[in-house]
Amino acid sequence: MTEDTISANLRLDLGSIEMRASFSVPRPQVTCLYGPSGSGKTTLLRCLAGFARAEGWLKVGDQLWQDHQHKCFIPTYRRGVGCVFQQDTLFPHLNVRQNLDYAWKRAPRSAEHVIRPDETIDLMGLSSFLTRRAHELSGGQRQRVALARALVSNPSLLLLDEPLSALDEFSKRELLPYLEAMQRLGSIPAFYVTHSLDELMRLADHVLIFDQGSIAYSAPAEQAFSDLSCPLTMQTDTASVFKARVGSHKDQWGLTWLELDWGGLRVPRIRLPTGSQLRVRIRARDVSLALQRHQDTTILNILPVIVAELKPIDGSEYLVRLQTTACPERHFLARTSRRSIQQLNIQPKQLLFAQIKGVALLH
Amino acid sequence: MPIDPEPFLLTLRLAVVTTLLLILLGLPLAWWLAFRAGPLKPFIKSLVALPLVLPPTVLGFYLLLVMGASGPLGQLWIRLTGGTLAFTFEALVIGSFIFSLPFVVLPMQSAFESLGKSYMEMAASLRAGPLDRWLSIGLPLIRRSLMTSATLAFAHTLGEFGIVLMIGGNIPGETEVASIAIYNHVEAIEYTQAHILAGFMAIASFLLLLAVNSLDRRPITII
Repeated sequence: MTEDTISANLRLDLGSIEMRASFSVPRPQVTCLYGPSGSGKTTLLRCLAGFARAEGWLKVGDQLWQDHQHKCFIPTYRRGVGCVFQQDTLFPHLNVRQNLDYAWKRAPRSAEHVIRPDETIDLMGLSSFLTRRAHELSGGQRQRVALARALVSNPSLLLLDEPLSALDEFSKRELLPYLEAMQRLGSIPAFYVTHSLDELMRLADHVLIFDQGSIAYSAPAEQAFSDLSCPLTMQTDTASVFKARVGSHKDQWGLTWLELDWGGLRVPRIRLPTGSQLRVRIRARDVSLALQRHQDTTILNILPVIVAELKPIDGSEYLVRLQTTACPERHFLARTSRRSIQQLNIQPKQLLFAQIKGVALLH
Repeated sequence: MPIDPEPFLLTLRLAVVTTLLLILLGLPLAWWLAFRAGPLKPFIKSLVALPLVLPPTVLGFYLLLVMGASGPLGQLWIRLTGGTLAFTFEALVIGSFIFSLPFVVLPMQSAFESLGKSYMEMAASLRAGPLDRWLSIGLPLIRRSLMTSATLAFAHTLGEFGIVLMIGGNIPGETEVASIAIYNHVEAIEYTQAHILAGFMAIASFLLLLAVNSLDRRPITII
């Protein structure tokens, strides 16, 4: 186990269920906690913050935050955890500016990533309501201020508990880009609790899936969404998610060439400059399979792949895990009928051509 | 016919000392009751609320037993200070403190409960230590409840009679507070002096309550 991880083995009896969380995730990343309500996600977050006192141990980088056996427990105010919860996070007797200053005054200045209040005001677009108090702000504005305040406190860990769940659809769409911007600001490790598959796909670098108090699944996001043993891939709208980079624009065709670590994808012209980072989602339904590379097709993206695994999902359909030829660790999924599988006699290890009908950009 | 201001000043002194003590000790007790008390909570809460329902003479009688020269607190007092406790100003303070305790602890407990822990937890997450959290977040957020209950406790101490009579006796300059002085004047058929003291008390109490109620009229945005 390398040093730059967040690892824990925590237990807390909640009466009805017992939260048991044993995990190790890479540190400078967004770890998403996903699962039904009451499965222990929020409890784990409260234990990471030091609000709840679990049994067991917790290590962040090379710092031991708690170890039940050796009676070690770093209190919350010495941990430095930026929290954004569903509600009740802004101090009601202070205005927006004062809320930011509250965090700034107490933030350590020596650390590597010092984010000044003014930077977050620009980043989160707060300048028009700096003198207002929490009750004078909309739900989306409140959460933006809470995010900004958490960043200003120069946290060693960001804890976000369904920060979008109390918002309406419109405010959610408005806030997501800010969350992504925050993520790109980079290298502040974050734990993000969510119910939403969409948020999970957009934000997660690492996925922890909770079920009845324990972690049922843990994997890097790019693996999790294409892993047939992961509970996520059994959902109706199964999709694989990959990080991509804007390679070049082909203006004569109105196309953009995206570079992934396992190949390239052509998508309709996007407005991001060359080199921009983004995520793409490939739905299993949008991938069809062919034995030969067809030239006589309108499909833009055809890639050679190797069949890694076949899994029936109901009587008539299969999920096929496809290994990319350029990068053996990258897989994506195709959803196809049982009839096609039999007619083309698709077998594991077979070389096929995946025809990708659509690529969704998650930005 | 001279008016002796002593009983009025003594009452004021008693009310100030009692109120300060109530805030100093009652506030942590209210916090403890709200968040930490566990199974002890109903027991302690009932004990704190007892002065609301007991006749002051009953309370005063038991306090007299405890603080008397042979009572446990009285004995301890003699060992610590060399003097007796009953019938002193200190005895009055202790009695008034217990008598007005529910006026501070019960409203503050419910203020803490409706405030919840989340703001204090947020402050901790932003690296505010325990004392810092209290001064920067806890106190400002409960200040209106605190003002209201402190003023009520103050006014309540001004008007108290039964307990101070039982444990303070009636010693001029030492334990003869305004309410007792008024009683003495009436007994001695000195109606003018009684009028002046009583009028003072009535106006002072009314002004205090007016202050509390004016505070309450402002729009409520925080607890």
